[in-house]
Amino acid sequence: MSFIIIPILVAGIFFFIVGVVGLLRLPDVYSRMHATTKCDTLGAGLILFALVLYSGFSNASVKLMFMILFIWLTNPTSAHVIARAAYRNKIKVCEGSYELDKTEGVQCRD
Amino acid sequence: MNVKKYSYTFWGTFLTLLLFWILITGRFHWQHLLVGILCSFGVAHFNQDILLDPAERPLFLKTTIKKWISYFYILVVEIFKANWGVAAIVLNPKLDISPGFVKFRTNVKKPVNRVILANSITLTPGTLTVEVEDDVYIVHAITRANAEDVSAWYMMDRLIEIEEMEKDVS
Repeated sequence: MSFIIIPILVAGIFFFIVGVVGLLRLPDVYSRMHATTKCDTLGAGLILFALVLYSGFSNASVKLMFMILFIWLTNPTSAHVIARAAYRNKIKVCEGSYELDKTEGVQCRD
Repeated sequence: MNVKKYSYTFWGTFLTLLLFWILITGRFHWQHLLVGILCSFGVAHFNQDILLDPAERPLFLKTTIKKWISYFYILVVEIFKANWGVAAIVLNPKLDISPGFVKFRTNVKKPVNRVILANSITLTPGTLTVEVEDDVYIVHAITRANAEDVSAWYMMDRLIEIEEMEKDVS
């Protein structure tokens, strides 16, 4: 069994490292949010999934599955809250950022 | 003392919480159950104002359940792609990014489906929902290509399709 678990665990750790590297390298708040939120989702998800496989079919694995579910529910929500707070406070964006407005193109049927 | 009548939503929430408690503790001793009942009742009671009304709930009808399952399956696939894409961008020595905001409207009507769409956008390739105001979404994209694609994303069409099916039934 460990030949399946270890690669999954390593993949999870890899995505966490990518998240940290992204946090240090990317220029502004929003791009940093991309790196941290995305890699947390899969990093934590894969590590917990490896632990589910490790503990087999037991009470602990049910709890771990719930942890994955709640992380996947709350992660985008909290990312949204942080990004929105940054947007409302007009935090500086990095140079070369653009703003596309596509509200005209799609018609609203209300 | 006036006894307030609790709604079905309240009891549904209470039972769900209690079931969750039993699942997590994994014991049926009466002391565990008593504490569980007290806790679930307290949580449901103090959150009465923000419980999900029937109108706010996502509908899982017999006809749409297949669509929902395939939606969440594709979402998980997209999450894997998103992580791979971001990892490739971050680990590339040139750091090939062109970040920016996109503003677009959506035809998704129900608030709960709009929340699902916003969260799906945040979870998938290089896009992050910054603000949702009625039907206007402001999304931050990490590359220009992501920014161009997000307003006509195929997951949005799937949600609209599901809504159409719900309308036919009700």
